[in-house]
Amino acid sequence: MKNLQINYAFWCEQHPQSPAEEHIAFFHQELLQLYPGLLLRWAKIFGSRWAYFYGNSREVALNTVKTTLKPEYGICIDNPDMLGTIELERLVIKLKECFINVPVF
Amino acid sequence: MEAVSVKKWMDNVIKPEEVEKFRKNGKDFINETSIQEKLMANKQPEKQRIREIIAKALELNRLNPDETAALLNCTDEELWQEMYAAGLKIKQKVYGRRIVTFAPLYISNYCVNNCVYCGYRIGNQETTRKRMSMEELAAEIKALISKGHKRLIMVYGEHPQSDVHYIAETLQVAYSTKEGNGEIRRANVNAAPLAIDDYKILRDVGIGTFQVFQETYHRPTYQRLHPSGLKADYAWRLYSLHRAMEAGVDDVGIGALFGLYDWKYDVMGLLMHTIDLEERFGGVGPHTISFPRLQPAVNTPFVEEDPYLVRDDIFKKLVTVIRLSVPYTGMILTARENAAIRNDVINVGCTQIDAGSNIGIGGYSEETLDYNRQQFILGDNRSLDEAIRDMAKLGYITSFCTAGYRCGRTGNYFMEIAQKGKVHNLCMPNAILTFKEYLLDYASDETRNEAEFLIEQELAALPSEQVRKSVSEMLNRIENGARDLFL
Repeated sequence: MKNLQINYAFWCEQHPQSPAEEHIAFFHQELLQLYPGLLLRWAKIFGSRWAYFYGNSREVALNTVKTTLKPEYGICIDNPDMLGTIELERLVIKLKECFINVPVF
Repeated sequence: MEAVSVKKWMDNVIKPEEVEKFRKNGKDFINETSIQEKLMANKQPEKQRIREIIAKALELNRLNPDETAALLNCTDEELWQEMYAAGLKIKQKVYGRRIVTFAPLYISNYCVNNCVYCGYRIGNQETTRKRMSMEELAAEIKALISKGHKRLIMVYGEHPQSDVHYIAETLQVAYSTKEGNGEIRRANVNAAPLAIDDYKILRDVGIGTFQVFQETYHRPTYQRLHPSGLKADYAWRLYSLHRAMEAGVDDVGIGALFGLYDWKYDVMGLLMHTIDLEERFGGVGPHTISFPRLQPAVNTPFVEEDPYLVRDDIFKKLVTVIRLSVPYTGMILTARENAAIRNDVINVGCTQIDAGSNIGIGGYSEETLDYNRQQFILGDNRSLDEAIRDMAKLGYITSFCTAGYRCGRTGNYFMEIAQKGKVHNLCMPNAILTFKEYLLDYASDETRNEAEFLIEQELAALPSEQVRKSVSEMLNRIENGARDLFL
């Protein structure tokens, strides 16, 4: 988890001018390496609409955790029990810190 | 607005490059000859083949054009009965025993087009023209909310006075207007085709679904019935929802106006449209399919002379074939049809209806019925409360659920779970919760008494103990004043 910000900074150096979607794909892969089996859906936020655009969840989840990472992006975690409350909170804080630098589409 | 500025506006709407980019090798996905050939080649389908096609649809697989053509050509009434039953089975498998309900809200009827069948056409001098101010719109929305509505389809004529900026402003008013416990939670739009950058403006204000109906996919007929105005451009309209999808509006609704041309051809057109959207956008086709039937309109003689008017029995058949052809897509049955037709046709697979509809501009707050302000004449004038009660008698729970698009269940994620028949695992609990809100806040005593059993019935039928427990807890919270709870 500590490495998420460092890895992201390094990735940004290697991939300047990358579109927003590639930033999201980076975080997606990082999270899956940290938590194999985590089910994620990334969304662009337009008013009330959370428009799904990337993820690995293909199932209907009943206890999804939905978090706004910045006004334009959100993440839905469909199996949050896998993380536990404390780990989930830590992850969301880290992601929000990183997402300050994610470009808006 | 002066005629010169309207003309100037019109000159800048259509962007030919935003048509061309979606064509395959310069060709449209509608190939008239190919559709006619498929209808001819599948003229006399055998019983066994029809049954195999029904079986394929029951597995929630989209049909191919030859299969749809075979169903359209079926003349065996026994097989049609099997198809009706399959339509209902598919609907219940994918969506459960629920009907999503919305209200149409006509905002402006100024129009630059001249569709010969439409009461709003520019040449119709007997139509009273009106464009709502934001204050009038807020009053309309409050009137709708006070009846219990949560979902709208907002309808606009094509005119610079109702351009994309005006539409965006009206959407913002729709979402920000509150009344009592209620609010509009999903605002869909039915408007003229836009350019990609304009769709992004609507995307950014949180549009629900964007609908554009092709009216008829038969190009020569289309050209004859849309002689002037922007709508005369067949291809600009044909790719309007491709542009919407490209802009990030990932819920789009297609439709055809049945009665303009041969019904079999236009069902094929809807299927071809679905296939092309799915192929272009990673498996994501239309969110809904609409199949309005041509209705009389003020000072519109075309309808009386129309040779393609669709009979009631044919209407039921075409709806059934659409259901079987695209088993996982929402289907909208509007109040153009009378109550008896709707109560019958809903059973072959429809998922959404409008109710308590008034299509006169300003009609909800004024509680008036003025044919001169309507695009056509409605067939079903039941109130929302009456319609909900009738649906309950048919065993359907009315859903005002709007959770999906607020929870990232859109685009190819939604399509995948719909195609697997899993949507109702979330949608039925949300239907129960929104129905409870309706019964508490808006229902008449009669409706509450006759429909409340559905809450217990559907709660008991939920497949998961865990979900039942969650929904029960949420129902208690709603009883105690909480609102807008969903899974």
